[in-house]
Amino acid sequence: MQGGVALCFPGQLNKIPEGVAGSSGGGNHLPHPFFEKAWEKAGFDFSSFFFQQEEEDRHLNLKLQVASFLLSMVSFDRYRRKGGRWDFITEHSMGIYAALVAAEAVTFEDGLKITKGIGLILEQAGEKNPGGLAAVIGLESEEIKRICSDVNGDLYVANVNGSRQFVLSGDAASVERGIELSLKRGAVSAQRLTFFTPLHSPLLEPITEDVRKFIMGFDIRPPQTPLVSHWSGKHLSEPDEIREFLAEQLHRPVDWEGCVQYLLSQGVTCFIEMNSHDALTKLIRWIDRDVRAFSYGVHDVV
Amino acid sequence: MRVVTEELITDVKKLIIERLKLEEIAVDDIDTDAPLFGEGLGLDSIDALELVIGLEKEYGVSIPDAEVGRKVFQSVRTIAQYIIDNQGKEVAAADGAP
Repeated sequence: MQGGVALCFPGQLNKIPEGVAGSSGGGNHLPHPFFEKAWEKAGFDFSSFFFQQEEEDRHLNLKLQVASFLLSMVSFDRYRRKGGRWDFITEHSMGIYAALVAAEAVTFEDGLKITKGIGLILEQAGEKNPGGLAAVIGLESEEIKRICSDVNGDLYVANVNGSRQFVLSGDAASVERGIELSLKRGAVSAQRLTFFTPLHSPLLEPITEDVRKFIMGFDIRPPQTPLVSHWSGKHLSEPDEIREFLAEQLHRPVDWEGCVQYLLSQGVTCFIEMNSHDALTKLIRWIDRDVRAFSYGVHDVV
Repeated sequence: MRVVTEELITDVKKLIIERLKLEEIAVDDIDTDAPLFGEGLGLDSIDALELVIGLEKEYGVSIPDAEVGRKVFQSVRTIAQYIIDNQGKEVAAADGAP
């Protein structure tokens, strides 16, 4: 029997992708209609990496999020056009917006608007209460939990990406202290991610209502492919369930390890990452060394 | 005193390829003295953890923290040197040897 294929949509890029955007400035036209649409519908120029609106352009995270969405969509479009098949669609963190489009739950245009709209709500939250994320590699779950409780402040586990790969989230000072403690206790690496809000932590609960209201305006349909979420592999099937997930996931942790384990239990033998990088691919390599995992990339386009 | 041999250099390259599943890269493609992270092979911290585990399993040497890791993972040659300098150390200490 042929094994299952899961398309994986990663979260926000950590930096402007090299050789993809922002290096040569205007005039670097990328031959894909999605980039044109991003300019028309969202005022974002991918090749120069800027927003037309000045108040939007000052937010690096917002740009990285919209760019991630676009790269995932281009990767997916390329895969689909070549006749690639898939049985499941899954996502990590902010990868949900592109995953929703791929699963035909929302249109490309709405996916773009949702990505940008929620991105702006997050930026405003981050300006009011600065926070951040840090990736900690090498320590085990028990130690990570101890670090969160030993830090005298708000620090939480935001992502369980593997048995020794975690992301911490909290207020800016607590994140710094968390990095310090992690390094002291033998982490292979502990570093800040490009994120200025305490994503996937209870500190973001206050924005839930704003996100809920914002999402109300969009037409969401049941996914056409099984859509498996980063909540340990929970399926998102109904439009109301999806709306609730979009609002709630921002202040709840990502369990990517649980999600991958669930997909493996469903007979998935091939994971294909939809973007220009291979962040999820490397995490899958850790979770199961024998399963096939690779990044599809955007090479034909750029 | 033991020195770094060409054989060990090749074995370290094989370990990197196997551990990181770099299917499209051959031993000869890896420059012994080129940086492994950032530029060069472009490895990241998740790869570093894979290498830490690989070195423990294959050679019984451990990387205690990020600072040591940064020094060891500069290049294939620095990894090989670290193996030479540290292999058998923990056993020796347990035996009470000087």
